[in-house]
Amino acid sequence: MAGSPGLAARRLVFVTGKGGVGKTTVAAALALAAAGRGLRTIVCSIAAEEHLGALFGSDALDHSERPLAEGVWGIAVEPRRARDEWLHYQLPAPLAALLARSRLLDHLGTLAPGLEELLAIGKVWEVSQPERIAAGAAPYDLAIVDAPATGHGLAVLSAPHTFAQIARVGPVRRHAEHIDRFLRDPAATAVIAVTRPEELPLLETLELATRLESALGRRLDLAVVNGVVPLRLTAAEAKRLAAAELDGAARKAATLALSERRVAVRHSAAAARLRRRGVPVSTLPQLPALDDDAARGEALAALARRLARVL
Amino acid sequence: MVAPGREQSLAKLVATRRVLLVCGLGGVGKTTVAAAIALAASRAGRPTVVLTIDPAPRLADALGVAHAPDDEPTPVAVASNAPLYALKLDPGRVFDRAVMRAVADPDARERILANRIYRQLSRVVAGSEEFTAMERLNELLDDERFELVIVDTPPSAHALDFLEAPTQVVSFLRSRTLAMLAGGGSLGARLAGRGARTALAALARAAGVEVLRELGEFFDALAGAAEQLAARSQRTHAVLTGAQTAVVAVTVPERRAVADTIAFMERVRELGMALGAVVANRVHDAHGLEATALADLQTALAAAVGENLARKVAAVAADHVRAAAHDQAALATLARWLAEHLEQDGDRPAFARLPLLESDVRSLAELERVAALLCGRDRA
Repeated sequence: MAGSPGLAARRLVFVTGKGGVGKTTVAAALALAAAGRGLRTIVCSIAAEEHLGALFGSDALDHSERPLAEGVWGIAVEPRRARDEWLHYQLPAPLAALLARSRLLDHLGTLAPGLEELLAIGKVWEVSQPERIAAGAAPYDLAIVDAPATGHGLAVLSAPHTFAQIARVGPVRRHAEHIDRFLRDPAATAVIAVTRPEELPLLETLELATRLESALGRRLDLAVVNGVVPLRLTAAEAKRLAAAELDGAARKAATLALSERRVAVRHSAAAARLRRRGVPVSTLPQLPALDDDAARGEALAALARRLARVL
Repeated sequence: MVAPGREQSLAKLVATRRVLLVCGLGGVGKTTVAAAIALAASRAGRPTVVLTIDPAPRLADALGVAHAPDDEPTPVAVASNAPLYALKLDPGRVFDRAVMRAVADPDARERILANRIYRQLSRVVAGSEEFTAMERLNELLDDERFELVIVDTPPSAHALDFLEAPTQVVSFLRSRTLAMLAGGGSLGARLAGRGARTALAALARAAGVEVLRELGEFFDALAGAAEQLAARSQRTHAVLTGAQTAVVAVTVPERRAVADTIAFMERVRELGMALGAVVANRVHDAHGLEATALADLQTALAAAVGENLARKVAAVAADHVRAAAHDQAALATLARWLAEHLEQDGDRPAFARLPLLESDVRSLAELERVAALLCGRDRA
């Protein structure tokens, strides 16, 4: 068996996966687990919808780095702000200010291929550096990215490379190449996929593993499979239960238990399929509904304890 | 007092509408619901096509589109009262067609297709699925084979992006930025103001002149396309907000999903679209089991299968009863919202619940069952 994926040793952990599988919850729990090890950790949301703040019982995040819990900070990267910051590093101040005001860039941001993605990942890269470019900003030990869904997530990871090809020379190219190298380096960056043990998310995860290899020459470090139904009945018990003469409520309960077992068997096969593909797997039970304010903190902490072993 | 409106039924929707937009967050089962509604529509005698975005392979297999060429309506192998077609969206192809249709000059077309920026754009732009799904809908509306088009919308966090994407593209094409960039930035820059010229120069310095030249060439070739694309997008908008279209919102029984769905439905109404139905998918059914009877249940089971197994089975039942209660509580909010919001025609949107199935739909027979659950009972 492969050992722990060793996420805590990297500077950046990129969390992607199919929409609605629990990326944000897993990113938040990972951050808590890392903070529990004493690492100064920041979660960067670059998804369109920002739910991270709410998970920590705080307001929606914005482009400023804000404490969320003991040892955990959060930021929601806004491409436009990231762009203006970047212009200020690259250009003399008056020019940068002029460009920032110009509607030209707003339109380019809408349509230019990969520009928003490049700006988002560029900001995340900056946040993850041991020596920050942003004036007065303190470095973190670990940055965890709550990334957009798989397809778009991969576009974000490939944006530096895509852009480096379009801009053949100039500072954009140098900057993009620098970020690209960082994202490809397994010692610096980990990519993990959150998925569910169902056909479509599973296939998407397998495809992500393949595309990471072909597009970025790197592997998928971990698949977190959540919503895995545990196997409660042994095969022998299932057989005995199916054969038992039951009626009324007892029969209904038996039907439910047998149905649950079939699902559990399918789920463990799904996890096995990922392992056969060479992807390390960590399974989680059905993620708790984190919409209950009172129970949320404890539920998230419990998830963090479970996920601590992948650090 | 106004008398409370009748609850709309999905059976009536499939019998009367021209377009049904099936919307919802990713992972709630939109594609399955869209396919099941399409099947029910063809059962009801309406020639129907379902436009899917990213069907699970086994569902695609069941529909017969797994190996069919993308973008082509393919007949579904099912005996029904009217033809049923399914197609898988190919955003790249639809985008190419839309741009080619909009650009009159053949030379400009070739320049666009060969342009690196365009090639990246048609593949990478995240909004392109939204834009292209609506463009494909436009094409299907002109296809005389179909009376009803069912659109499985892209799994977008902003569920109504598809409505706004065409407008965004058009407003960009009409903007002064385009005029500035046209002609590689040089001709355009003469027309633009001095500030814009300096801005362009700064951009060239940051991004490299090459990018600017290609952008200019790209936008130059596209310049004539704005009006054409604008006309088409206006048509899409008219169809989507017209009486022949209804939205079907798909959700799951979780509090956050329900809150998102309510926000979505409010947006639908703001935009002047008709909300036809809400489908709550994957709802736990307690099967008549009650929390108070679980102890008795365990005793009864123990007599038949022994203490140990009885405890396990009772635990499964208890979890299930708890989950069913949780789902019901989550959906109560939705039911309340629906009861308070009548549509313009005085009807309330239909509210359908689909039980949690052991696995995703993998065959036409399973799809048939979902269709019956959605539209079977009360035929219009």
